[in-house]
Amino acid sequence: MRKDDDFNRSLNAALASLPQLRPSAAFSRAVLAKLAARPAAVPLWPLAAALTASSFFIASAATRLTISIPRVAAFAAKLGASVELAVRLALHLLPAPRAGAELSASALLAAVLFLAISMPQPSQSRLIGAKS
Amino acid sequence: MSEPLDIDAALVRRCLAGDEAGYALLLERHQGRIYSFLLRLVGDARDAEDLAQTAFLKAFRSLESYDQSRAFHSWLFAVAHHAALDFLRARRVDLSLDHEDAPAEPADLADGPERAAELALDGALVERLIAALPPLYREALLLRHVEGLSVEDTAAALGVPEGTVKIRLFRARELMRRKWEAFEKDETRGTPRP
Repeated sequence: MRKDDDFNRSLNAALASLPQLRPSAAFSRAVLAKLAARPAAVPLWPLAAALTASSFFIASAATRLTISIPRVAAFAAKLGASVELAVRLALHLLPAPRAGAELSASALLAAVLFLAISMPQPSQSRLIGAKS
Repeated sequence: MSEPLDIDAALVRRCLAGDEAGYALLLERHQGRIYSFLLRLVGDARDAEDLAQTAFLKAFRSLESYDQSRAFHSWLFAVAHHAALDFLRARRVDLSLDHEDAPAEPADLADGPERAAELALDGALVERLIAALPPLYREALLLRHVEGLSVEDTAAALGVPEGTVKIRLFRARELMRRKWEAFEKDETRGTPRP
């Protein structure tokens, strides 16, 4: 058993005294350059517009709401404000904005809008083809 | 919290606040340890540098997910460990460990205590003994005894229970001792060390 102890002691000393190795001189520069070259954030507004527009039309079709121009305009104004708020929040919350995160924020917003539009509104909706 | 950990925490906060210089300082502080660990684990300087680069980029890009109650270097070793295992799996290196949970065999005491006086483990020989270990034993040994992590931090970095780390360390020492004895026997017979 003493032999094991001696071996372990000797091994511990040898392991602790192993030198720390260094990467090449270009290593740091390469990492920092790749870090700085991370993909720029994809512009959000076309993506958000596409998502919300498709959500709107899908929701409209699903709930069979009557679409009127003034309502759509009012809705679009609110939608624009919501999208802008979502973008600002995403950029503020994420130190390194990425397309994935912004896509998630947009998708979340679109889902919320979808749910809001899909809520039953008896006074403002009627079935297509129903007799008045 | 000790001073080095305070420095790391402050640097991480700087990075999260958008200070690019924070990344350079973190890199300067930890590149040697991470590179050494990876080089001794995969055995090739170029592969180790690529893996270290991958590990640092992954860590820096997911810095917001780092739990600041943990030591930064421990988290960094966990990222490096995952990068290295992915690399070794891609190279089809056998990562299995036979009978890891079985009790260890008793040490061979046939040579008696007098042989202990002859023990001399120089750095080059220890590097060879480390390189001969299975990768999962090797990384546990490197983190615990070369990089000086606690058993708890080693377990966290490797994503295994502390008991598993202790078993791997014990078996690593056993394998190294046997390999060393084989080297010694070869040397007395005049066969060069592998």
